[in-house]
Amino acid sequence: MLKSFLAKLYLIVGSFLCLMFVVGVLSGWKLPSVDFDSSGRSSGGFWGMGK
Amino acid sequence: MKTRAAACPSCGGPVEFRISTSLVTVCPFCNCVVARGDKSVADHGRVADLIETSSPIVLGSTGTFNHNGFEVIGRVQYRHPAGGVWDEWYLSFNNGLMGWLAEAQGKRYLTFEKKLKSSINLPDHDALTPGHQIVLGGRGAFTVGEAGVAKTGSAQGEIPWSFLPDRPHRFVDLHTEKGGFATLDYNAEPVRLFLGHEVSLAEIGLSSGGWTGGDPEDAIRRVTALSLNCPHCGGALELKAPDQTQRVGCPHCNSLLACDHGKLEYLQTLNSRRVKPQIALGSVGTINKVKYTVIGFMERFAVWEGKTFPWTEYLLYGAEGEFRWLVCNKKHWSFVEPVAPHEATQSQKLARYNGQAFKLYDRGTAHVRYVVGEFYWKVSVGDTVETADFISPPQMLSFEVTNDGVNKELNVSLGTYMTVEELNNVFKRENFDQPLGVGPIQPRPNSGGVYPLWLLFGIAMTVIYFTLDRLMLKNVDIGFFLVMLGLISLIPLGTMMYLNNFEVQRWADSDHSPYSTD
Repeated sequence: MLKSFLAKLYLIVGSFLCLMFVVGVLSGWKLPSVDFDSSGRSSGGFWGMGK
Repeated sequence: MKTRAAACPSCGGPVEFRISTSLVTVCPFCNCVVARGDKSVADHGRVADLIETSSPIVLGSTGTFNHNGFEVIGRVQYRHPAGGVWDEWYLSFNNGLMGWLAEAQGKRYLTFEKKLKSSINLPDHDALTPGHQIVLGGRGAFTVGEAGVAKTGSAQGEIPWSFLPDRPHRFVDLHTEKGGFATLDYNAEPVRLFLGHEVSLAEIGLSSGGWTGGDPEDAIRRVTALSLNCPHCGGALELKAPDQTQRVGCPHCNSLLACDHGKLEYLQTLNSRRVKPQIALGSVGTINKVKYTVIGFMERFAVWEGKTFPWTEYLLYGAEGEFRWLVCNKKHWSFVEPVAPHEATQSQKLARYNGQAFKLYDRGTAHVRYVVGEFYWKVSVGDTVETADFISPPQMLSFEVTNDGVNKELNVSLGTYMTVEELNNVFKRENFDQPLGVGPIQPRPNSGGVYPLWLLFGIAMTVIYFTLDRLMLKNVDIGFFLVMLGLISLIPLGTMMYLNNFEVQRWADSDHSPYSTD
């Protein structure tokens, strides 16, 4: 199935991203929420912990 | 057989008419064509010596077809308008039937004369062109493979028609999709039909003094290479296929020479600029376990929207006497083999061969710009053919129609893509240039399992999302999930875009691109 270098690379990158997703979910990572009424200042911080 | 003996009116030697339907017999002593009359025989002039061919068949060869034995009793040699000769052998069967065995370019067709119904209206000879369909009543539909005017050359033994040398012979060769073959003889009124199919020597159990058992193809006589000098500049030339070569381009003085079984004659000096072949003439390489020698090189071009698109072709001569081609277009190579015209069909946008569909890539006119080396037809700078190329990577099906107003011939060939690495391996070299851009039949790169992994990762991430969302007391951020899903899709989407662009580039030089927005 994994005939090419690209597929092997994707297997490593994809597995890493899945792992990161699990770690991120367990750590409560979430996207910064943008308050459009406050001149672009974010309230949650980038990849910050939730409130 | 009731043999009638007579004395040759020219030399007095004994001649025989063994078959009652034979109208002439060629005197074996003086080559005089002796015609049978009611009470006496007549002298119809002399025929030239037969041109030596690689045929293993001789007068007196015997064989069996459909459980009926036969003997080869006559032979007519025709001169093809494109150069070269072909033989037709006259077979006398034990059951009284007569058959013709035609031999041309390594193929043999056994045909029998069949009556054409008067209700069948055949088009005029001049109106028939390759690809034209003819319905021969209940015998079905036939496709014209070639229509031309050959010349009677020489003859041997007994012939069932009044043979005269150097007479035009108007013929039309027909094929069916199921391998049937027919020839229409337009020299007679009404037109005569000869119907049959391709056969091998083994199929008809042919045997003669030429070989004793085993594979009869082993008995094929090959004329070996010949060392000569150019009649114009005196430069050394080595002909690898002197029995089949019609034209030689001298690499020393750029002269085009006529070749008649090894005899060279100066025709003209080619004014075209010299092109250096990437593979030297005389190079030997093995492709598909067959050893080939490069014997000819030509450059051809097509004009599209005012631009000239050149490519080069190398003529390969195989160990068994077969011809193949290596074609180089923008440093993309393909190995080209001939296909019998009846085996391939074409419509406006699609062609079919061997159950495979090919899409139209290009139609145009190919011009010959430069030639050097040996060629088995009367090639000349300025020659043109109408081409139609259909692709199904890594293969290309090409239809080439030659039409000089009198002779019309269809040649079909199948090209298979060769990588530079494969070519290096064939000629034991390592210096062929890497190709430029995407070739029309370059195999599409394999995604190599990226898409199944994409699906796998997508499912895994979704399962993780929903599982952890339920197990944990707080909600998993959907935005985070979507971003990670996007990140994991970057490589597959990039691959998808690359492969799509690859196909767009493949069709970039085509008027028939499925990706065209025109």
